Amino acid sequence: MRRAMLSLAGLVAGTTLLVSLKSAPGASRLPGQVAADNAALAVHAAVSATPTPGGGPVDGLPSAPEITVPTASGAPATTKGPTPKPTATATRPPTAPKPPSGQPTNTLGDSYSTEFGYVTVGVTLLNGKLTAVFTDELPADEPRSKSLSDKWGPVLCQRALTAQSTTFDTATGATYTSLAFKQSLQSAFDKAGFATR
Amino acid sequence: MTFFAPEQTGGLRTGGPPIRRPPRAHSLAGRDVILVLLWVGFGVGLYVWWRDTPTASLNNRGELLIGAGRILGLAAGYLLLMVVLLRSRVGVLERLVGAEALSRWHRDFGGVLVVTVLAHASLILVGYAVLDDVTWLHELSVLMGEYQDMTSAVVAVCILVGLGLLAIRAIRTVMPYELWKLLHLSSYLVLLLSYGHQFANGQQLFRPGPARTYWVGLYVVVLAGLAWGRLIGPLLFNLGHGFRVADVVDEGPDVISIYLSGRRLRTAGRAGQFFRWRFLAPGVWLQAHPFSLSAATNGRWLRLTVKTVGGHTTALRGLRTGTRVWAQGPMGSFTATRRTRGRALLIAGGIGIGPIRALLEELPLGASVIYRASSVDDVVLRAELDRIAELRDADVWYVLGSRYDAAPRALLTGGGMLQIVPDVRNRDVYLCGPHGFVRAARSALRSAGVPRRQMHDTLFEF
Repeated sequence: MRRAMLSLAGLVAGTTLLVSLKSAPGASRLPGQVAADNAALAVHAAVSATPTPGGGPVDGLPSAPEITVPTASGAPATTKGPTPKPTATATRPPTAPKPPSGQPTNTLGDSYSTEFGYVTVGVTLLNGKLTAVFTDELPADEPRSKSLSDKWGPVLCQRALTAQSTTFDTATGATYTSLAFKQSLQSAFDKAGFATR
Repeated sequence: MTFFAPEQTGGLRTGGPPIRRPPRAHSLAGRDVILVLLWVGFGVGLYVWWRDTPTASLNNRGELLIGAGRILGLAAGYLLLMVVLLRSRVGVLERLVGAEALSRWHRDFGGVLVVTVLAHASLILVGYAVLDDVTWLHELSVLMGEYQDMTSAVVAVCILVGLGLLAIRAIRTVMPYELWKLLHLSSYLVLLLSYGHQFANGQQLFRPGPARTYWVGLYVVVLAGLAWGRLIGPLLFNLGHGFRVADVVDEGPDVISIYLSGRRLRTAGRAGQFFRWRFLAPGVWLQAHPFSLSAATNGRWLRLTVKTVGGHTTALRGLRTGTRVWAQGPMGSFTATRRTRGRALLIAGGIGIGPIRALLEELPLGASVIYRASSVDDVVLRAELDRIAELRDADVWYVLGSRYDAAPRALLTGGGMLQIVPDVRNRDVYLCGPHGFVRAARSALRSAGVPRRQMHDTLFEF
């Protein structure tokens, strides 16, 4: 009994110590604030990296220097778990030549970071019409994000396609991902020169 | 008449050297080695979290709570495996740690496990609720609905908490032992049900990598331990020895000795150890009871001396010669190998004399025995005790009477102990008997100045 009590006390103390060693100063802020900060920062974060071989539906894109996204605490961006793979994202200039008609084109939007990982959305246009919305990247750094992404990714794509715009219901329980999804989608629209209704 | 008549027992008359050499003593280091291994394994489990969590990444309240929840999750997962492993009856653990310490550790770790699991679940739940800015009830429905294997994990928590409550002494003691044991089997269900969510949703475990490999390795070790300790080991042991009832002999009021025959009996166990015996006869085969050997192994027979108090033990009187016996063991580290000194004092209370009598044969010459019984009629094995004592240069003190009589009361004081055995501080003390008696004797020995590490006892209750 005494041993059990001692072990419990040790476990509580040890856990507190470990957590506080890994915590950032001012860590008791509410996540909403942090997310808001993140969102503000993320708007500027047109993250692009060296294209990985076969890394996305769009290839032959020029490479751009990698940009580090600062997190709310001011530390360099290190997402939970192993660092995410460099993402191949579209930086197609808006003045891209119009593709020959009758051929579908894929365009990737910018990557937007959420607290849980990056969101990159792509669109497929055929003769100026939006025929498909797909995700190139969704938060998957932890099982929770992954399961939310797996669940809501297709739903959001479908909603976007139906709405033909960025005006559709966000996913419950995945608000930040939905917001980043819309931002990325908008940038894909802009790049592809697709005018929303 | 068989040759098992009491006056011929003890292996003293025929065969083998009349005076055994005591087995080599081994140190207590084995227990420490196991303890260190357990701690190292625990440390590695937590290091996995440390390595995967970047510095300063816990930057809000939700993340802090989840971080703590994950640490406790890893701790709980590890504890669950160890609690099961400690009870796997693997020979190495039984020998190095001893059944008594194992069951103590199992109980303590089990208690910690229940609290840890509850803390893990609530921290994760509240942490995610804070992150998502929803109520914890809503978060609970999200977790249950959208995550793989979470329902079974919640069931596992419920079973575990239920078992934890049942284990509270006041509740456990009103339950029949067999029911308690049956309910306790559901802990395997906990192992099974909690497994899925660890690998599907565990932040450190859901991805392939060293952490996951380590965790899988732990499961493999524990499952192998269970398979060996619970199935293969007992099977080989029983097939090898083939125990059968040879004779049942009256030793005194309510006390019988059961003699067993079999093959290679000398290697079956050590004096002081016990087995869980299942007599494969109608009416008694459903229950397995722990009885100690009441004579050192001698190559011709094994003997158990049993007080026939309950229904089951009374039924054992009717055992027929030739009845097959299934044994699980040997268990316990209450053996001569545990001694740290050149001499020993053995203290028996009531039927605890069985293992003490066996140990007397294996301990170094010059031991002392204190045998506490309520009356002369209750003294069993007296003739052989006296004879072994003579052969082994030991003295035997019979302390008789009710616990309120002068002599028994004096015995259970530091002064009383010193009076009977003046050099008690320089002896190992082996204690066996009812719980209360052993506790009282231990405290008397402590006040007589016997260091704790020189006291060895065995418990009859587990």
